[in-house]
Amino acid sequence: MIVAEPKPIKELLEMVKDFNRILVVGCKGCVTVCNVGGAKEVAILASSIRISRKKMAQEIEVEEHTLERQCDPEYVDELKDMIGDYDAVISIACGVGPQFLSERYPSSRIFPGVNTQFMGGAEEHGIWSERCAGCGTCVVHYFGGLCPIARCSKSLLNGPCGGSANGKCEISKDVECIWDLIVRKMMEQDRLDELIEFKPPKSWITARDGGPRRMIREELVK
Amino acid sequence: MSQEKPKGPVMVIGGGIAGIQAALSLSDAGYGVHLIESTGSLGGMIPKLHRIYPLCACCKVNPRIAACEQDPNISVMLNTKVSGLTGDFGNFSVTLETENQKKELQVGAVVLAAGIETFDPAEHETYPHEQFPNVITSVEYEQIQKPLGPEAGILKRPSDGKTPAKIAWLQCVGSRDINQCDAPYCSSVCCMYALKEAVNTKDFDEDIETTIFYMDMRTHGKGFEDYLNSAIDRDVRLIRSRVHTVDTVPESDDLLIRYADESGHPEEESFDMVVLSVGVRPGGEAIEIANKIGVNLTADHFVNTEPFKPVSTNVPGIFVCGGLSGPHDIGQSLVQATATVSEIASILSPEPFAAPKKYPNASEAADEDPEILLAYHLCPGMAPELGAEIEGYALKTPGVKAASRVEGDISGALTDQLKEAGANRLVFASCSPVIHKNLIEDALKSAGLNPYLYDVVDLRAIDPQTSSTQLQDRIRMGAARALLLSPPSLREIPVVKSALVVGGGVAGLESALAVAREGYSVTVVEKEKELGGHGLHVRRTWQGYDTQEYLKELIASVNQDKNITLMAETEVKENRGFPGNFVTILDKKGECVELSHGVTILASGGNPIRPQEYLYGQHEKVYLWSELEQRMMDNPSSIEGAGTAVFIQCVGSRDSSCSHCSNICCTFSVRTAVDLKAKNPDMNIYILYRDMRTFGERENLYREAREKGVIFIRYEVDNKPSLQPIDGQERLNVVVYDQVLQKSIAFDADFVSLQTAIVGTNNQELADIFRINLDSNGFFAESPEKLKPVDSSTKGIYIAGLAVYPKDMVESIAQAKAASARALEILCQDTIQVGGLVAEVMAEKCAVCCTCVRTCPFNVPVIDHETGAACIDPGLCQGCGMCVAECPGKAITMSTCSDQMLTQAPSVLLAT
Repeated sequence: MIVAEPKPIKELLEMVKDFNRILVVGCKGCVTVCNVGGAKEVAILASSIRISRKKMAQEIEVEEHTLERQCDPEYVDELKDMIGDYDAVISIACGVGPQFLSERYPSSRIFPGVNTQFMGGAEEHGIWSERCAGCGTCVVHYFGGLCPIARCSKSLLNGPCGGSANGKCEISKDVECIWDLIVRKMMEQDRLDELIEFKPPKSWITARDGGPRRMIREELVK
Repeated sequence: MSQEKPKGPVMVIGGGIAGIQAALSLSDAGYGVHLIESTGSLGGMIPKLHRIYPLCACCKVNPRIAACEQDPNISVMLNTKVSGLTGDFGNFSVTLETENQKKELQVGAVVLAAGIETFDPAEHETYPHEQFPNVITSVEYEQIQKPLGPEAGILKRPSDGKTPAKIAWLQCVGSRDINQCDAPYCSSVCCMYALKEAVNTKDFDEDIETTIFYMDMRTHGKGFEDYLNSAIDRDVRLIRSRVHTVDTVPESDDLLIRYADESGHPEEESFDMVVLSVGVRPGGEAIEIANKIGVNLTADHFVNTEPFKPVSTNVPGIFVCGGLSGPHDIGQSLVQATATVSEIASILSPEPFAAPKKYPNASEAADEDPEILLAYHLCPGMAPELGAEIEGYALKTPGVKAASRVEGDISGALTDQLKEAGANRLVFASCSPVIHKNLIEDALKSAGLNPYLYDVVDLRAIDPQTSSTQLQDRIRMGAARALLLSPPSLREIPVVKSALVVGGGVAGLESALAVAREGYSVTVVEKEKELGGHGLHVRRTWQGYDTQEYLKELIASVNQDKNITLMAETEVKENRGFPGNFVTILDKKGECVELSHGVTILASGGNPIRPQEYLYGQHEKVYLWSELEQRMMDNPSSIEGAGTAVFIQCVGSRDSSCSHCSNICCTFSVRTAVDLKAKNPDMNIYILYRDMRTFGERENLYREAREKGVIFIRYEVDNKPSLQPIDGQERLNVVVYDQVLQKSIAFDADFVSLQTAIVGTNNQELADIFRINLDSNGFFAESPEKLKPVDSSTKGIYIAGLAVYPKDMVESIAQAKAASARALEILCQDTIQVGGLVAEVMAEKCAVCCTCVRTCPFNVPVIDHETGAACIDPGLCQGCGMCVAECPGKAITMSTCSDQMLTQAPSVLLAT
């Protein structure tokens, strides 16, 4: 899933300080699952805005709405009859959401309510970590099912580097050295010899380096 | 089998906590009960107390008193005495006397539960209770501490009303004393209550100095040692001395205490108040009756119980529980009271006074627009104008259709008024309304409504300054919440009529037999090959009964019982389900077995730890106590011929690694010492101890041991005895620092027995599997509801034996029988209701994010792949609301606590 974290409430209040009619829009997709943009968070953010405005004795109207997904136009369409009533819209979906809203409702002022972090998964309730960098050419099968592109600080294909110590990466004692794990995993599977084979430099054309990406699946397009 | 049993009601004599518990449990088992109390109110000792360790007393006892009074199967007779009893089991004829009337009643069985009296220190010359006003008994002190007592909880000394700065407690007043009191036994409860009173005094004012003068600090019960340690941390001072003189300080009301410290050095100190920790003795009148009807008494005039039958007297059909059968604490009294039900059920068929209650089907009324009945109940102490004020305001509150007062039979009155008013929601106002929860829900059901369509208004703790405003706010709030209630869904699920017993030791087997004899099938799972558990290593009980003989008979009757399936070498792997409907996965020598059962009894036992100290495992003459017992059974002459025997107490107990007291080790050592002395009077026996905890009538054995010449030497935990092997010999040299002589002494020993701590066998593993709590010492925790000593923290799972806390065999048997009585209460029902105050998932909103699955403290939610949503089993849900609060999609609700109620609260409170 796409993992995000809430923007600091101060920053959000500052963003919308000039608006008195605000619509907070959540998403039932990834951000609900990572507890940042579902109906509950919509209600909490709306209440926080109301409380803060009331403390300043200012008029405020905050409406709450949660869409099935903000990354599909059919669901984004749901807002068409209400969005015009508000002078600011806060989307707490991943970065896709505010853009889809902006594109569909060009005259509305759309604000992002969360900071989108990475593609990853839940280690346990409240802890998520990155697993995929979206490089466009998956190679995890060479590395014991672990991705050095997303999880090595240097995205090394022929690791580890000299900065690996006691299983940790030199950038922080909280960051695992993925190459340490890859080597151990390959030893467990008795495939260590495969790592001796040199991996040539990766082509980054399929990744972001090739420019913004668009994908057309001919068989799905009419 | 059950057809052959005689039938009849039961008489419970004594309305203290034990009698109340016996009556309620009997009624739950279907018996009609005559509850006879000689005074004008139920409750016995407890209402006189400030707190019962560690709780306030009244709120736990009052609901039980109310339940007795309102139960159609319990006929309470106050101010009534038993003057005669004739006939036999199944057909007793009891003569009762009230002030001006005599009455005969026919009953099938009798439970003696007349409890205790406290020692009256008037006769005691050393402690001048009568001469000096500031010398008071512990019961008088509790009265002063009680917030609802005559002093309103403000601590003042009687002579001049001054707040005392220094208070002394004197232990063993009327206990452990043959010279002045004729009470050689230990009263068992006084050390704990003195500590509790001292700690409560510290709660009142941390600066008051509290000092307890004691002989042995006997905190031998579950959690008691931790309480002792916390009291020491609170600066409760402990002085090991029996005070010989209490005098006044001239020209003042202060008291001068003279005592000798342990080395014999005389000391004196003045105090503002002296509290006498008076001992307990069996209720005098009850003992007279017991004598009259031929019930055997112990030498201390308590009711004697039969070997291995802790609640049976020598007269068939007459049972005993609580303080009448020995100095017991409240927990033990409750265990025994519940155990009587299991014993009675095995010989007498129930004859109820009233037919089981039938409820009408829930009507459609709940779906109509909500209309509220506001009912209120006033306590005797409340101002009578309050009623008019409540009614007046209630009728002006939106949604309230009618308002009325209920008295006496709360449940019946509520039912009638709900029907009369045609209301479909109830708001109930009273002092601590939650204690009436069961009655309120029963009333709603009787009125044909969903039992959860009510809210409560607490009339307690209203500030007198603004009482009207507060009262009005609370009523408005209650009514507003009631209007938002929607009926939660309820289901009836059939009860699986069988039990799982984990553990094939004494506790497990006794409980299995008690359940099986009522016709239910029982599966006993035992980890080892052989049945018997720790009991296999026990030679004799402290009373001297032969354990192995009993154990053989017990195992034989379990083997013969057709309702019992034994599974040895089997372990529990998984458990799921809810009361009435559990499923457990067992591993039987590698084979996986799935078992459905309605109730679970956990009696997984305990074991002595193997110490790293005192040369254990290094010297062949250093035994664990269980090993010594085994030798005494297998090859007695090898032990009995010894010249010198040494017993070391508290090995691995009461220290930083294992803080609890293992309860039975002191008694084990004196029992064994007395037996060895009987065989070989010339044997030198030394018992090295920290506190001799021969509580209750076990004290007699301690005295006997001393009379026979057993030598007791006390050691300090930071100066433990040391053992040295003697070269070329099988003997050991023992060195111990004697606190009385103030020097180290040394002697040679032929063997040393180590009384090591007892810990649960595999409590952590079982607690995880059965989702129950452990206490801080790793034993199974009792239900957080308190005063339910055999209930685990999960309904339908009951606990007994060493896994709950170290205890002797007879106590384990009582606990096993109590656990089975509780289990039978569920098994005798055909269906069990699930739902109500539980979380419900709205599948269409669920994002299957697993937040509920991960945050539920009881591991209830699962993702149902068929519906594509989370699923919360209403039978398992504990109604804590955690998932409701956490669900990121707001897909989980609880009808009795909605967002709407919370968000509307401010506007309801601010409206006037």
